[in-house]
Amino acid sequence: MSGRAVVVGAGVNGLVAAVRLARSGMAVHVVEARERPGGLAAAVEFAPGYRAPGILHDASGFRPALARALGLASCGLAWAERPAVGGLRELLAGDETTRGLARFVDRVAPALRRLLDRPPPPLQPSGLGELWGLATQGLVLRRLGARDLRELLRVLAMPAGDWLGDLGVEAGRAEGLAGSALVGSFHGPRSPGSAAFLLLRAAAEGRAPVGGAPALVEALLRRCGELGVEVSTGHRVAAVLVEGGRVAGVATADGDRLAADAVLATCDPRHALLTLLPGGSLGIETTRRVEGWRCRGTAAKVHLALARPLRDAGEPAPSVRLGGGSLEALERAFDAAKYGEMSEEPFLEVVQPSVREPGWAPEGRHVASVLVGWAPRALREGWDAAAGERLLERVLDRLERHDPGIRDGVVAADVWTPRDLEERLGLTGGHLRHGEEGLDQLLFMRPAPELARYATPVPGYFLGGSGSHPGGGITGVPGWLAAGAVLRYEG
Amino acid sequence: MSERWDAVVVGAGHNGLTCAAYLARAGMRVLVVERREMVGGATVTEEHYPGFRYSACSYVVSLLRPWIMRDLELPRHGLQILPLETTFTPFPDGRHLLRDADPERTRRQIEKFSRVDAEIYPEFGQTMAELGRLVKPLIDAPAPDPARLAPARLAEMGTMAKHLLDCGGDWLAGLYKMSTASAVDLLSEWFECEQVIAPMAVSGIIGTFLGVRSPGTAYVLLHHYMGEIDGSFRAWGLARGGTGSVAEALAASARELGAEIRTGAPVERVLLRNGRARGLVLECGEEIAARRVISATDPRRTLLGMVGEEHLDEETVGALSRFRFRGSSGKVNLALDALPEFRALPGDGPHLRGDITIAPDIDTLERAYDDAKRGRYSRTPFMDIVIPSLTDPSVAPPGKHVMSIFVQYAPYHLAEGPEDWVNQREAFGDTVLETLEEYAPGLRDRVLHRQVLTPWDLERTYGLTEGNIFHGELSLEQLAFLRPIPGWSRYRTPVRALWLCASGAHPGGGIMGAPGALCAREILGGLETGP
Repeated sequence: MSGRAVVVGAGVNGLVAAVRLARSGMAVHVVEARERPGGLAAAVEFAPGYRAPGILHDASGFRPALARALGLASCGLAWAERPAVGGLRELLAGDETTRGLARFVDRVAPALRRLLDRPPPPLQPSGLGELWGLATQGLVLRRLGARDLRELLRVLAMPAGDWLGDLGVEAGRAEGLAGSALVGSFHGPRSPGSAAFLLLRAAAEGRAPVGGAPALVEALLRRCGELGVEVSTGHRVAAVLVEGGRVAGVATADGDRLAADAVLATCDPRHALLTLLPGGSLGIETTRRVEGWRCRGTAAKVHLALARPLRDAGEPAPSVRLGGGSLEALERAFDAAKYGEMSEEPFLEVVQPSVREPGWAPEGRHVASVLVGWAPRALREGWDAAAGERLLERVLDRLERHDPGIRDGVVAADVWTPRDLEERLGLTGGHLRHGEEGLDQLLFMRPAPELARYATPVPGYFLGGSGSHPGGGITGVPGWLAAGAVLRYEG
Repeated sequence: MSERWDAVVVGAGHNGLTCAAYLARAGMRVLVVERREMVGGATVTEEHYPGFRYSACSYVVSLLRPWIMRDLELPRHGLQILPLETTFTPFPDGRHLLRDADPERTRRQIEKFSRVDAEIYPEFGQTMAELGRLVKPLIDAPAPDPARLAPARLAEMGTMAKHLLDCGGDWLAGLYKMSTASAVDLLSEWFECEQVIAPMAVSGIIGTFLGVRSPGTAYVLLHHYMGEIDGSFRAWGLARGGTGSVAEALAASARELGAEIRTGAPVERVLLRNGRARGLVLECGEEIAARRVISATDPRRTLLGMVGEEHLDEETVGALSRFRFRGSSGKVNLALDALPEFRALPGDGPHLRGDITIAPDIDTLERAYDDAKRGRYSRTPFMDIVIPSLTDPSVAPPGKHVMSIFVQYAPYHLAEGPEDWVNQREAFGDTVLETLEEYAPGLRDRVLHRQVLTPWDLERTYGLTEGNIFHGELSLEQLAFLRPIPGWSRYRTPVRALWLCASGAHPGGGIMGAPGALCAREILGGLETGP
């Protein structure tokens, strides 16, 4: 397709989609509600001189191959030697009990990545092309060999805790692995299917860009500039315009109308389909499915400006995972969230980018980006200022226990409760991945079978955010695949 | 050594008997040996108090495959299934929900809680029934293994794939959702009211170590919608004379077909020669030579118990010790002087003749599960209750009653260790009665006798490892071709001529008979015709 496209949202998915569309000759306009582009990958400057590496602080899921396809190398994007967060694979490989698991992950990773790099397999293949696609995908899986294939299918359905428990992984290490894979989800380590989180994350992660997610955003913006993509910030898209049964453009909250032949929305599916579209555009069944889309956020974010680094075993820590010390403790943290309570012992994934790279904090100072697990959006007493304070206290208590004295080193703190994530970032349910990633909301179910191939029932309207396959995190893949669907669209 | 037997079956539970009957029907010389003095395994009727006959373990019959009933002529051998027609849920606030086969009555009942839910309820039932219909071919055949594409199996895979594709995309998505979602999540897509969701969600956790919010429980829910008696859906029934009658009818059928059954004959080990099963050694020392050994006990008991680690490779031993049991339920059987009076609906009535569910709300059910995760029995348990004597007066003296209470959760692995159940058994029984007393005041005073079966007792008495009623958890990673161990092909084990024919094999537990029949079919080389 050629002509004009509007992309809603200037997060990584939106910018990736814009680059792909523009490269193919479309005139692209990206419209972003916030004052700064980047979405969850944008740097958060929360105190003078202190920058946190994005609400999502781990960009190791963005793959060099995609960067090459987008032509980002010439835009100043370089790759660090290792992931910003001590990666799950690194953690797996570093111990006798999990080394076998690391090898298994290495063996199945190529097959899984293949599954995650393409549109989801269709439920009902139509035409030879799709059948061929399905067959080759099947062959890739078969090539794993009977033993690995069976193990893969078995593990995908398992609770993470059982999987790690079978291997006799030490309690704290098991908690770290499961915690990082599950943080923000509505799963605990005993939930069936939670091993899939761990396996998929470990298989997808690679090296992170130098400068983290914000550097990636910079490079994408530069590439957009080269290609003549217009990026407007501070403009909220209020509605998608539908005329004659097809998309005609978007209307912004300040009254502008932008005409377009195609609109690609990277916000979450509930917002994209129930709020932005005129009522009645979807049909009863699809509306019901989208209303049933589960996005119960359970994560909060805390950024700390530190006068001295957070230490782990005496050394300044590039990253550290802290919880109650066992899978049982992690499960209890999840249990609290089920009943609308903040967990007594939250799981923390801490990244301190300033330990390895300059530029995040003033000389000699540090920044800690803390992803806080199992603080439910649906908090029983509601998220008011006092609840935010309590959350911060729990985080500081936990850090203090790990590294006595760190509390006194806190120069400034910035708290994002799940409610803040919802209201300030437009995430329905405060869900950082635009919808839960249980097995029933993955692949061809994401966000619904008839929406899983990025097109919607409204001709010309496409979904390309984390609510689409392959899901959340800073990967750019949903945006890339959705742009592909736009380009195939005949208009 | 010339063998007298073509096959010897270990265990005279319903699956062992089913398998034996099919093999005998095909002309094999079959012997069944049973440890206890009676047949039935966990499908038994026992009299622990004079005149009161308990269906001690399993209590309702629904999944028993109709083609097995026909093939083995069970009705002629005395099996009669009496339908259970209602589902009654009393709530702590004095309200109740009574569902039955009459759509109009049920609609009015649900309307008390939510008009919207009452509207959608029939459509939900139809959808579930349709999904159940689509799944049935999968439980009536061995599970195809995607990792084993032998040419002989390609046709079978093709048939299965065609069946699934013929379902249509929407239904396929529905099936996928059913096997991966949680019962509560699935039901919440349809219903808004907890009093409607909670009583339905519990069908998803029966016999599992999962909560109503755990992914995968929607599948178990579907299993319960597959129940069929005489082809009608969502039909549950009681066997006249207690569930033991199912085993007795199967035993009669097997005997008539030529099988021999010996009770009071515990097995010490499987006789091996050159790595091949050649018979059994009984505890009394007697050797029974047979061309093949078929075990109706669970996989771990069969291989680690009766074959022995020393005859197995390391990988097999590891896989067997990882196969999960974790029994989660208990059973309380009561002899009652008079019927219970429910606060929410006093007096006798149809509500006492069906299934009575204690499932007040989702959080209570989930907290019951949290208790179990931490190694203690639920302080406010979920209960599934029937009073069989109302439908089948033969199980109690005139005017008296038998009450069967299935209780969850009662974790085998107590924080103090499973053997501590001996000390906690009566406290557990008390908790059950105290909880029930809130709904049916005065019940305690009507109890003439009670039998409390903890998972520990289920293991000791009935040989159910870790008290798991399904011979191993029915969790996704232990279903279909993954059951019991990935790579074990269709009822075979790593030991040649040693087969598995019970709930630890596909399609799993419940009084279904399918594993027994499918194992027999596999042994007979696919000569048997299916359903």
